[in-house]
Amino acid sequence: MVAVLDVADVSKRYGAKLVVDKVSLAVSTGECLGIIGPNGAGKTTLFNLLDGSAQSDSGTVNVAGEDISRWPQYRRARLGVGRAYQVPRPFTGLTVYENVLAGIEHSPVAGARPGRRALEVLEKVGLADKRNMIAGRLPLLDRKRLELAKAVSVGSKVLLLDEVAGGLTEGEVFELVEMVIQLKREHAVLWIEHIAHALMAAADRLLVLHFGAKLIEGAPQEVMSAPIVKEVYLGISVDDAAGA
Amino acid sequence: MSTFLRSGLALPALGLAVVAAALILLPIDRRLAMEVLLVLAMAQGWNLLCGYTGLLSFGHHAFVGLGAYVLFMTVNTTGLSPAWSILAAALVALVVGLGMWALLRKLRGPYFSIGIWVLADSLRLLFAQWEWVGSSRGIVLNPMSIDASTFADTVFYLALGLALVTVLGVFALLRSRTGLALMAIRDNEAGAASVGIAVARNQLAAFLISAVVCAAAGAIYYLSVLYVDPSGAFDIDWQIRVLFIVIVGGLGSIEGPIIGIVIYFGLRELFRDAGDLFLIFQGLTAFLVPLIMPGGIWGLIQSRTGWQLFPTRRIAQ
Repeated sequence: MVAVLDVADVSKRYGAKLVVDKVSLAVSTGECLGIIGPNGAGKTTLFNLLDGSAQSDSGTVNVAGEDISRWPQYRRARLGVGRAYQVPRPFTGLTVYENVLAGIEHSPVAGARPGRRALEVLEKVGLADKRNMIAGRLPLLDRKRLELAKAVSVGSKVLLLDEVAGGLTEGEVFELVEMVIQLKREHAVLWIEHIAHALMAAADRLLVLHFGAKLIEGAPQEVMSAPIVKEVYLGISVDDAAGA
Repeated sequence: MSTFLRSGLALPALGLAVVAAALILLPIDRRLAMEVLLVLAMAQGWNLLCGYTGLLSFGHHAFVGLGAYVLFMTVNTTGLSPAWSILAAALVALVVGLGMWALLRKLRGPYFSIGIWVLADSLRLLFAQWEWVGSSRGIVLNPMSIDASTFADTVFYLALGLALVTVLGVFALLRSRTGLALMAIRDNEAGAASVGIAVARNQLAAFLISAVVCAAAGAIYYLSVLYVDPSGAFDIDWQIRVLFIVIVGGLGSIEGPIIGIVIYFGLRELFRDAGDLFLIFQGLTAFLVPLIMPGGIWGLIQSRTGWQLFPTRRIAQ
């Protein structure tokens, strides 16, 4: 399958600190790539380089065969890069429906009936009943749902999910995982998440970032049980663990 | 007709028609009404920029003065009628606005506010030195260009026309795709870019519209005075007045500036013969309203009741 998102050797430096170090990855539609790594490993910065909220110093980002490495964020969004932020960014004064409509009306594939499309998107994330509610008054889970809906609204091919399960209860996390699995059918999904079991349930592959560089990438079980991952994550040295 | 009723346009259209008819038919002070209408247009224009795109301008008096001067120079040098010269004022404001944007576009927050203020004051200094436009003495409108018998009515109707066009234009804009983009930028600029909204382009559009409206209003106001000088036309008091009106009435809505206008001119007329009392009450209002009602008066009403006199909401079927 041809990868809809193809990233080659992207790097980003802030002053003397190399935050993202020659990361390459590829994700196809129907696939979810989980991204983990300690705090400060450069996960969110990597997303910033993909969606254009920051520009990479080197390397290329390809979406659907188009080199978008130098494109501004809004053009990347219109081409199909959707992002759900760690801290949701709802349009607080607009209704839930308008929040989604904004993206749809700015999509190149808006179609003749943007209103209907908005309702379809809201249906998918379970917000159809609250469509005329003011977004600023939504509780946390619904804000997370809306964040997903907004990421999808522009007609995304690629979905970047940044810790969308953070702060949710167990039951809510389960609902969210179901949603991501549904969204995966039509999107290439990249998911940064600290809640391991949520990620394991949805991800087809895992990628570990460490000091901005790719440490390891592979099947979720393999990656989680790799000694080097335990060392980085838990701070256990492989030798000590073996000795004990 | 029924779709018109359901579209939510009937009430505002009727309201504006009644207000316009009252202004035309009732024996009101047309000079005061003209000023109210012009400041309303300025406030709506400024609010489109500052209430929606988050760019707080402290320098829109630049366009008031510019509009006034362009009208005077056009009338005096080309002999074009004052009414048509308003278009020249709007056009020059558009071009100068583009130039100012080129200088300001990288500035954000207080840097933008102060930057445009500096540009406005630079324009005042430039016009005060520029001999061709009368330097600090100012210029008098060529008296041959007007018909004294109908002049008062002419400027009143020009002001009424500008106010109506501005309010209805802003209303129509806010109900369009661009309006949705502007409201999204108002609520979350970074979030707007992530759903495909070209933030900078929308900000530029709002900036140019506000510039043109303020220039046209300035042109009509100084036309009515028949005389323009740099210290009056580029007076920051124009900007402060608009700032007061929009902040007190409520930023980021069409209703807010209308309420602000009523309060500003209400206070001013109430204390007309009481000297500095007006300034004291204006200051108190400017201080207390944001303290008690952070979203302005309309913001409070809106959050309590959900009312919309100018419905810009998209309702899901």
